[in-house]
Amino acid sequence: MTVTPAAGWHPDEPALQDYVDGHLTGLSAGSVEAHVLGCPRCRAALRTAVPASRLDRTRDLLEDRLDQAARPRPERGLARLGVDEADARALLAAPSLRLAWTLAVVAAALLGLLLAEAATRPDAVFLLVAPLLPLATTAVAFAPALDPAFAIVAATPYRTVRLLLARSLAVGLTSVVAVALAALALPDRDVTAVVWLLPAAALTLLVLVLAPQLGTAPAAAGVAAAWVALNGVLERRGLGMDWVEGAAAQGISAVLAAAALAALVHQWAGLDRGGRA
Amino acid sequence: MRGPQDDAALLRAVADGDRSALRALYDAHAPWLVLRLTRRCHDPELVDEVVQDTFLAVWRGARRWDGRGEVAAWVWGIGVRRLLDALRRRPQAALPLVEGDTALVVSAEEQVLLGIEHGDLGGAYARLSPELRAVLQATVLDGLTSKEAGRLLGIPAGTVKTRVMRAKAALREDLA
Amino acid sequence: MTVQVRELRKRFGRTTALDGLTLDVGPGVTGLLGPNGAGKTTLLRVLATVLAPDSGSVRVLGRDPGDPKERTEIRRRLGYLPQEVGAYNGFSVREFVDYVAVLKEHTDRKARRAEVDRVIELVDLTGQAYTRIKTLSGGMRRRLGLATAYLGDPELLVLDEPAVGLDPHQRLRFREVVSADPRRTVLLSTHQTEDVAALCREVVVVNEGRVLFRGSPAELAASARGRVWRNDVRDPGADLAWVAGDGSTRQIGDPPAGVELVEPTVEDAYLVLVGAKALEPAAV
Repeated sequence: MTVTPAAGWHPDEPALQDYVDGHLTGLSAGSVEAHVLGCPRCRAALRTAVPASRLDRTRDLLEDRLDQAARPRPERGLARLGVDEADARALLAAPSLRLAWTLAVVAAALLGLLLAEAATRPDAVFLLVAPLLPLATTAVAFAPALDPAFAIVAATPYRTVRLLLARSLAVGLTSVVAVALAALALPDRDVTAVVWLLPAAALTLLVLVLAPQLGTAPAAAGVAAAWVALNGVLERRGLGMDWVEGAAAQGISAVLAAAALAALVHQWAGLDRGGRA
Repeated sequence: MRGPQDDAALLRAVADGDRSALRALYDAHAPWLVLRLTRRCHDPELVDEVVQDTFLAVWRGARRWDGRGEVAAWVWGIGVRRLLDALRRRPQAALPLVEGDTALVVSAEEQVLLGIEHGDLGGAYARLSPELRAVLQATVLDGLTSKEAGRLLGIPAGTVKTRVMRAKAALREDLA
Repeated sequence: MTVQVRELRKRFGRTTALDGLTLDVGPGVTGLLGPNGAGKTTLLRVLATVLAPDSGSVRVLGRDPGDPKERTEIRRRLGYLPQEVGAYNGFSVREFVDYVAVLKEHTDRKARRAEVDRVIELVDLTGQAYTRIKTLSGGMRRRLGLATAYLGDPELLVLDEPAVGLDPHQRLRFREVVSADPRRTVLLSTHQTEDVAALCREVVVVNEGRVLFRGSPAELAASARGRVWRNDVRDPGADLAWVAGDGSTRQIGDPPAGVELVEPTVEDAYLVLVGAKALEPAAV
């Protein structure tokens, strides 16, 4: 068999069949292949040569990989840590989470700045402000009102409480880390950098307990105001912020935190509705 | 029948993030790609994996297509390089690139590519030594660079170039 | 009966939303008709298990939403379209529907992809599947919400104002989709009496947290017989009057003797029941 050098040359049916069956080799197969690159007709003819089931299976796997690649990196990271797909998605989907995180980082940075530059009594300022940060950011992450899709999400079988808790936890932990870093700006790295943790835990958990009854914003504002007021009163009594370091303060914080936690667990067993928050 | 303009339009849509356009490209091009890869790799699972890798790369790199030439040729360029990567992971899966020839069907394009006017090209090609045929297949037919062909065949890029020259010279002499 | 509600009460601060509401809903399409503030949204939220009532009994799909385990079981068979479709603006249509599908326990990825494609196709959003939600029109957002409600082919669909923002063609398509399976229970709220007449097997008129009427659209219309008439000018006994297309004044209320009575429509009957409040502009 020799050459038809005219443009518009097509391998005829037997030639294509030979190619598909693997009977053509080297240059002959090569010329069919080179031709196919420029010929939609022959490409279409070759479509039946590969079983549809094989092509479908590969396509499904391809779609899967494209879906996976489309997921945002934090979600893929969580998936690699073994977090359930639903949990990872639900955790990261709402903008309220990003908002809370940003808030935590910015506020902590400002606090650090304040401590380093402006405060005359950095320890006191730190102890006053530090517990408020996890409180505020957790409230932001927790508030269903800040999750635009909450109405739809609430009607799904997914346990809403689990979601809100996971978000609060994620944000709470982040803000604790952020504040701990801000604490590095304190002049003396002493016990001040640690004693704020229990009061912070107590305040934050208290807000989460009160939020379903009062609404997240009122609960957060109320608890924050109470903390500031308490400090104001004790300040006037001459106690300064040192009282926080005392065993009494730490003990009360611990008890309060534990009680709040217990209340939360009890309350959330029956609460996974939208509520008014 | 889908023409070259349609493929170009599809690829532009893919560059814009249109998944259904990618699906259409897959339907049109996966079959011939499977066949062409199979002639170079006898492991069907690996071939399927390479097909996936190829279209994934098409999805990611659609914006980089320069808009010239055949979309299919561009896809093959991606596919053969993905095949190279896969074969490096599992070298035993490759088919030898050199075989004996039986019946020959030669196109005009091939002759032009090899710089040869006329004559019994197929026979002359068959009379080449295996190493010379291998470099011709890799560079001329598969479109690999000298460096890539070298990596595939396990020889330096320089050697690839000299062998291609020797092969073309041998063919010209044989057909003269 | 898919839904059984007895003496439902709910207050928000000083406002009473539901005032001892009693209702049964069965398979087919039931329309909830009422003015703003009538308690429709509150009722739907309770039935969708996202709001707890103050008192009264509720049974949905034979289960009690007050019990956590049964509530989850209800949610597995329920599709809900809230009044506002809140969605994540950064997501694409497909991503959002997929997200809700994941939350609805569609764990198998391949099956989920097919299901997501199915519901998107159902609401004619296939062309916009990869579009960002941010750029969708109001009607499209509504259809997006409807798609998520249809995930998993639920036994009960609770739809709050589903047809708002849809153009006439889409509205027709919506009616087709919603009434396609007569075994499914669909409870939808609306202001639009034409939707009710065209689509609903049963209509429930609510106002001020209570049920005023329950029956077929024809029965509703018939209930206003003798209270709707036509004249050239407004008569003294008319509660409501407006100028009809032909120039005459259509009136409802207590007709004076001798006037030309007309066959009432569903809208007429609705206005008779609900009075002037129904004509207040809708808070969109």
